[in-house]
Amino acid sequence: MKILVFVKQVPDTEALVEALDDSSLKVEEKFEMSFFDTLAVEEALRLKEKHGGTVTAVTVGPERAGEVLRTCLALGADSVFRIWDEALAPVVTDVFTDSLSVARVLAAVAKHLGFDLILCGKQALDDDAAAVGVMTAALLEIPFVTAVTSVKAEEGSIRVKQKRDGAEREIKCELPALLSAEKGLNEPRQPQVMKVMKAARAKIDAMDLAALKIQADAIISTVKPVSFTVPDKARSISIIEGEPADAAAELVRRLREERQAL
Amino acid sequence: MPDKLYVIVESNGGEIRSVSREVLSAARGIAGELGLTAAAVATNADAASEAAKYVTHVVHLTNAGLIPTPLPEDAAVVLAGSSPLARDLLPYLAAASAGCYLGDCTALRVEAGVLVAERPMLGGKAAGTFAFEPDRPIVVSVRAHVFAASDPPGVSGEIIEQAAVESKGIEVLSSDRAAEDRRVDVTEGDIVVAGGRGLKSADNFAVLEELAGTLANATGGAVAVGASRAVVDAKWRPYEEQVGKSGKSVAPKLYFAVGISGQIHHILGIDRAQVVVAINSDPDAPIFKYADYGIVGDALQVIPALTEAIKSA
Repeated sequence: MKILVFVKQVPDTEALVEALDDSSLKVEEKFEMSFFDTLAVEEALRLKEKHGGTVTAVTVGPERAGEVLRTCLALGADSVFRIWDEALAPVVTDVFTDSLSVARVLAAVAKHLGFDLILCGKQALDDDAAAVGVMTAALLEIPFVTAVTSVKAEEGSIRVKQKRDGAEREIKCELPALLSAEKGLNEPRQPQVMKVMKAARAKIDAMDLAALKIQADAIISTVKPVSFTVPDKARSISIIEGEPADAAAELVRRLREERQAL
Repeated sequence: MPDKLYVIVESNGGEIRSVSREVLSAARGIAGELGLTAAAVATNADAASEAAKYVTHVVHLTNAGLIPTPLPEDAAVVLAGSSPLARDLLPYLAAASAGCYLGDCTALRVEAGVLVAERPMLGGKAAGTFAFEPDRPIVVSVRAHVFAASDPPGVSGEIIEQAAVESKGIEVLSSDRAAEDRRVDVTEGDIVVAGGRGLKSADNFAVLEELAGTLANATGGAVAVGASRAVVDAKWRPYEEQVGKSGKSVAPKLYFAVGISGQIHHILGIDRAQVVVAINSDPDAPIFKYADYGIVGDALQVIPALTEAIKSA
């Protein structure tokens, strides 16, 4: 089975974000692979180990994004591709990604490389858009199932589980298809030290839009951030003292009288 | 010429989703400001008849479990409440029609004749205001509690039945809904009672469930139980309840953080709550910086006392 995994480098959870003015944001340069993508990589490797085939990891991003591909190599991916082009710079920035443009790039990559199955995370942990996977499936006109918690390959098809609105559904999906990974799908492995060292020396090749025969007008800001704020999340606390019963009664009174919250 | 604003109206177990009603309530106003006519696409008969009380033109998609379906040709804007279905359908519609998609918006309004949306960015650390490329369909979902639900204006809309286009290659083999899962989703709670490690065991969440039940009786509102990442990772609670980054972002009127220390990834999911109450035995827990009211104490003593106080108030 030929498996493609789409991965994204996102700012680390601890990375500081600062608004320089109301139209520019600065993000501290600390990055990691988006959490849900690590689940997609792990599932791809497990499918390969069980059924044979290849795992190819793909990311769209500037040079620094190559780091997530090194991680994929260290974990056991057979090959990796980083897609970048000056034309992508306005739609894939440190703070925002235009989903449709990236989906067009990834659909072109998938056609170029060929595939039986595409795996990706259910959403990226920076924009939480959950859009690129579905859009890529739409452009490729292939079936997709989002937020899967179990994957089982069968001859020519794949059987997945998905929790939705409190119901667990079992779905059969014909290949080629796209699946997005939900928390609980698996526990990702840690890479072996030797493989990390080897991956650190690997040359990460970049492909540009011309190599993928993508027309420049396919890359467009369909949705554009025009201003930003970094809200202060701190609140001013009123600590309510006293024994549990007294404090609880006082809390109820204040929620009711000061906030009309009860 | 596309001249309609379509609202996707869903129901979950017979009743229309509260977020669908919120969006329907706002649809006519937004459509009017854009010079469009409000219409609806309903995913079943109940949703269709409810939608027809708000807008004059309703497409009832039969067998809508099998969408994707094409965007109606006269759609200038498609609006939905955030939901799992919206997350599958909306990006699909946008990609298939080369439209503009923005999901899970926290504000949506018309400025100078065009739609403008707000949405968190960078995992909730920042918020952005977004503009859409002109002359393309705009496909947007908004989160629960962004718009206020209002009673129907007394319209009696026309309902047209239409078969959804089946998604090829997908077959749902089974769908099991556990009886216990007919609970309020954490994103749709007017009040959310969330617990963390401070509850000390999975079994002790019973005290939170009891508080939630008491609050639901006392207020008549929707009350949901939530959980911190730590207790979801420890498998005390299901992932559906996880609040924060990599879980769900909530905006209730009242949020209780019980035995939750207040790591940044949790705070990023609760900053739109109107009132936050923190209960924690550690007076130095970061959660107290992000709460409006706090009680320093053992959750297992404070929560039963709180339940009693609400019952007797």
